[in-house]
Amino acid sequence: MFYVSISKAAMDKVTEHAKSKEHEEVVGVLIGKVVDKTIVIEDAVTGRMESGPTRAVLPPDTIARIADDIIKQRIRGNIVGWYHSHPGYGIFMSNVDVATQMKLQQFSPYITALIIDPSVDQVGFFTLDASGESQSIPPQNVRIFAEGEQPVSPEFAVPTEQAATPVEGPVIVREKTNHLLLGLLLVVIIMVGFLWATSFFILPRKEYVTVSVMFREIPVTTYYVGDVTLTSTRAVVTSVAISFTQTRTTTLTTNGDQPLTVTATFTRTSTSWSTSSTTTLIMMTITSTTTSTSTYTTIIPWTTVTGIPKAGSASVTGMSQSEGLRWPFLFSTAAIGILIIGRRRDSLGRQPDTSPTSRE
Amino acid sequence: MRLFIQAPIGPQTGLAEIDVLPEHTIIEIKERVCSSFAVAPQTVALMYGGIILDDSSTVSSAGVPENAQLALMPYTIIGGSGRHERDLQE
Repeated sequence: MFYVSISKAAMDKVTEHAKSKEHEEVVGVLIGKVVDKTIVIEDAVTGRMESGPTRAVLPPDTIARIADDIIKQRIRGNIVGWYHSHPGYGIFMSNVDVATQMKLQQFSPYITALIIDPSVDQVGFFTLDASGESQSIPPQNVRIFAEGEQPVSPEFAVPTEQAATPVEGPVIVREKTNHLLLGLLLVVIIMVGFLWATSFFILPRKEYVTVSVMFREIPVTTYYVGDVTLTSTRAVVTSVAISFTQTRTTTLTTNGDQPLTVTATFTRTSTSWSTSSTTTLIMMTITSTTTSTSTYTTIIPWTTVTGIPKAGSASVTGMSQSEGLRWPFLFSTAAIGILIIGRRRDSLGRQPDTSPTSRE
Repeated sequence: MRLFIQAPIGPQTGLAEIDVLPEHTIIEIKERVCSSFAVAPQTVALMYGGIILDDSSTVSSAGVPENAQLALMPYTIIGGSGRHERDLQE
């Protein structure tokens, strides 16, 4: 079994031809080449034909003309298949089709039959197996490639030993290159900073970790929660595939030696995307949306204080949105600053050229 | 005289080179070429310059010159959408 990769132009040609005759069949040949195990169809060719509602014949004189065009290289490529329409009859290999396919497969097994039903816009590719039974090429083995695209996609091609040929070209050294590189680097830094900052906006806006600490009331000695300090670190990983992963660790520390258990819980949702290339368009697919709830258990020692015994609660919050933005903001500002200074120095350097010394 | 036969079907163009006499008939040549290409002679035709060569004519009467490039192709390409019963009636 083989794969089929057909150019959009050839597919359009076949469709247009089939639709030109609503109630009559049309027929033609498919021109192209075979790369590894993929039949690459680059063109569809036809000519004078005898057509009826359930039959279409490409007569010998038309075939002779096409053969002459191929030999004289007016048509580039070989016959790698043939097409015909089944207007309103559906996609299948009729006895007549099997006979024609068999005739062509005498020359090579790499011949495919394209059948199109223009009334329902259905298309199917077929071949015959060793026993002469018709077999449909599964849709996942068929690909339509647009102009400028590689006809054989990596997942189709059987891996071949291809030695990478390094391209050796003259090395052009230009004085401006360094300057340009520096500028580009700054632009990249600004963009990274911007992206970084943006990621904070895309993510849930306010993410506070709220830790509620309940006070204990003990008749003899009053224990009071000491200075609870909370350090919160947040790492945002932004990959090219636009997926975000966020981790947060929360540590609660205090002075004293008596332990207190504090449980902090926070929930966050992460959505990841993946891009996939389909036959004609690039699609963005949301592959997963996960909501994770993490529970952190921290031991906080008690601190002994004197005072009136009381019950109550205190809460601490994690890093705020603005705090998270501080670094990307600083980065971006610094980069812009360097860029401006660089430009100013540039214009200063150029001043002698533009100064009106020869005005008189 | 020498003739070149091509069958531009499939990944590679089938090539054959044969020595013939001007009085040889097309059917004789076709049968010789078909055996080397392993195809059934009744399903294919020899073509030259965009014209089908008649089986009964000879190389000279068909006007095939020395070193001509001939094509070996299926005689017809027929597509049918009729179901089995209808095909049998036709």
